[in-house]
Amino acid sequence: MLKCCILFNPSTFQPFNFSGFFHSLFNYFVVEKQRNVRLLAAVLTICTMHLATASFAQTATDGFIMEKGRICIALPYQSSSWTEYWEGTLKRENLNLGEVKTQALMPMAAVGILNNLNVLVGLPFFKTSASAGSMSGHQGIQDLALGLKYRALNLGLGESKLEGFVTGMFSTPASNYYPDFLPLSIGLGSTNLSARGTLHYQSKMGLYGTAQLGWTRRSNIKLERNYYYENGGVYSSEMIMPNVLDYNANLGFYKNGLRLELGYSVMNTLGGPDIRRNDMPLPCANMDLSSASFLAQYYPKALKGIGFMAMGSKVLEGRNVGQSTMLGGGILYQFQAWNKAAKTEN
Amino acid sequence: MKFKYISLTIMALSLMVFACEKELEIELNQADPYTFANTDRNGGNWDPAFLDDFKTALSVASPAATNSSSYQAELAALKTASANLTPDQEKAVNYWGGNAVVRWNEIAREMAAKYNVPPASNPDGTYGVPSAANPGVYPFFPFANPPYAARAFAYLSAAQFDALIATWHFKEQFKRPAPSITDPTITLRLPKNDLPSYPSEDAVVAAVATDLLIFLFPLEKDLILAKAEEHRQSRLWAGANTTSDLQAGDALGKAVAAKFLARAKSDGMGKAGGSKAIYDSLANAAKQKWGWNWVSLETPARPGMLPMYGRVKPWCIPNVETVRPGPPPLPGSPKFAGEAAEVKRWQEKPTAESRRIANFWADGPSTYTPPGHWNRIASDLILQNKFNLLRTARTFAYVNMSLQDAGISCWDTKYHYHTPRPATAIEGLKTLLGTPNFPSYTSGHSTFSAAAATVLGYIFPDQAAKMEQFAKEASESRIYGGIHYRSDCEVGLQVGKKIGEYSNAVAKKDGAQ
Repeated sequence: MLKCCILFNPSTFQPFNFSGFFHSLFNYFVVEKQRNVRLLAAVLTICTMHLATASFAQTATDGFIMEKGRICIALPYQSSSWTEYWEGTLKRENLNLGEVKTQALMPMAAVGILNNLNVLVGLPFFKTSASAGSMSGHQGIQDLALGLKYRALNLGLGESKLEGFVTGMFSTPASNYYPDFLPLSIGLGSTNLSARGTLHYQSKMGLYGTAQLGWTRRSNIKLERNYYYENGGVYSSEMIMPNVLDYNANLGFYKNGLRLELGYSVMNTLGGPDIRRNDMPLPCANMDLSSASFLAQYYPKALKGIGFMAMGSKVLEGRNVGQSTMLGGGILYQFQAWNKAAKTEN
Repeated sequence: MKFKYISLTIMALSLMVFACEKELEIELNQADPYTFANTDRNGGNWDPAFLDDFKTALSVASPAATNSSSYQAELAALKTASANLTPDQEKAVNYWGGNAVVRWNEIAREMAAKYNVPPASNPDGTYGVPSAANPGVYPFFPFANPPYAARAFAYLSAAQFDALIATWHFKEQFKRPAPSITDPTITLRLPKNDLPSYPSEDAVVAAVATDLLIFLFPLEKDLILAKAEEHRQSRLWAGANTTSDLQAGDALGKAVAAKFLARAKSDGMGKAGGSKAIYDSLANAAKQKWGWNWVSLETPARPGMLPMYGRVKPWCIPNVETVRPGPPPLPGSPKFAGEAAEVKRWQEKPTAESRRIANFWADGPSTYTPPGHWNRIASDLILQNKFNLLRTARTFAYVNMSLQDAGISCWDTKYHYHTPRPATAIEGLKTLLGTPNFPSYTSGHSTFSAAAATVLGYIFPDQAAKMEQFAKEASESRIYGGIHYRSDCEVGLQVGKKIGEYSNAVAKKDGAQ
């Protein structure tokens, strides 16, 4: 019997930071920093949870890391849109953009290399469009993301359990998409390295709580122009991308293949300029936001490892980002690829 | 356990990566101090751009003799001022000591970029108009769009050119040696040259820039005054000019600036924004005559940018009618259909190269505009050729007079023919770049670029082919960006070249080359 569950934080999938704005000679940008970083975190947690529950000898309270030999594949789709955004701290609409929409298909996988170590990989496809104005939307493969998650803490507390994970992630553009078309670019173009710590507590009853803290270093990005104005003129075709701090907390319930979760997350860009009055956003803008999210997931017993999920999120407060609302869904599949001798319960 | 160590190692490495400072590679020729290729000692005899009567209209008081007690006191003060510098003072000496005309051009570019943001619409769907009388009330004055920026660069450059011709004239009249020659115990912290020191060319340049830039960008007054003060002080710290050199230069610069300010206040720019009645009558006239008219693609509809800029007083062209091109291909004609198809094709199937070119030359909002881009190109050539301040000002003057003439002519053509943009005329067209809020024909980028390239090609003959190539690329970038037809671009290039040649005709007779 396979009681798969995925610890999926929908906020991690949210096309996070769409900053819109407009211009008489319009220009825009989409701000999507961090997306990949969070993607990896999501992959990781998805698959680790899956693994844990897959082993019948254990219960779901065992924690969320995939065991050796298991592979989890997920294919979420999400659609996010906004009509209002924050120009610095000023909330506004932009009639020359109308509704800015971002769709994403995000294939990802997690592999249990060892019982305490997972490898994560993701390669999302994005498509953007604006309902008003004459600016082109963009589409294409965004960033390749790779990660390693290690379970550094695994503590039984009676019938409950506390686990701690450290995660390192790397992402880099996997196509030549252009980040300086905000808010319609499909990504921010930086190569990112992030470090993340996660604490996960799970009770025997099926209630759980997760807290994460992540820090991402972003590389400079390459522009196709050699001057831009960022609190002063910069004569360079490179742009410094400030680093990003993010954290989130989730509360959820999981039992018999059904999982329900609510989450709250915060992203804080550590520097960068505000969008000036009626100006266009730069990829390096100081994008901050907080968002609330939900996730529902179900693994029907009959489908032997195939599961479904639905998720959504809404930006509550922000700065230099769009107030986006996201809805999405996806399928998941996990299986024991090797080390089958240890898996007798499926 | 092994993995614990590995993950610790990874974390340690990550921390090292995270801790690294981020830096940018700056792609700008730095105006660090250099020895001038020559000093153009006869520059006082060159023909000015505007102040033809400067020898009679301007005067500079005779300086005190070098052996006078007052000048000796000045030298002593200079010796003290330049003896021990703080790091900031040294920095200022080097910042201003290379090519101060390039520095002020950079400052003007900075201001153009800062003020190049179109006003937001009001809740009632109207747009505020920046007011020179009330610059600090939103929308702030100015909106430094390309025509505004071209005019700003032109006034700054032409005024500095004329002021420096006058400076060179008076320097030769008084022939006061540099302080470090009169008193060899004064250490000159900059490369030597043979120019007489009275009046100080740096004080002239600073004074002209101060008065014109405050007029053009009034909200930047404090910054401009602080820069000018640092510029003047840097000449003392460098041991290069005494107080009376600076004072005479300051007075001369102010006198020249006043002449140019008088021109600026009556050149027609104040009326360039037009009015609702004027927009409507221009649109109606085009509709009657050509069967089409331009409409704003913005929501709410924004009045077209500076419809009467074509009536602003030009520098080197006789008038706009002389250089106004014939009409563009008629909508419905095979030529028009072919050009529309070309625009559409580049939007549907951009290549990496077409996208790069569109982005590289876009010079849109929050940049120094296409005229600023050409000033940057000019700066690089000026520094590579180690021009002195006078020859630098001359280069900027002709480049920028041609750029403003290009803007004036192009805006006249735009509102004369009033043609719709591709995104209006081509059903469902989505474009890589934002469509500017004024008529299509001819392309401003093309006209500006050809004009500047033609002047730079005359001043730097070995660069002529390269400049022409730049102009062609800048021109075609607008087709790749989806905002101009090929006729807009090609005719813009032709007209721009013609305008550049008008500037060159003046330059060829000014005695400098």
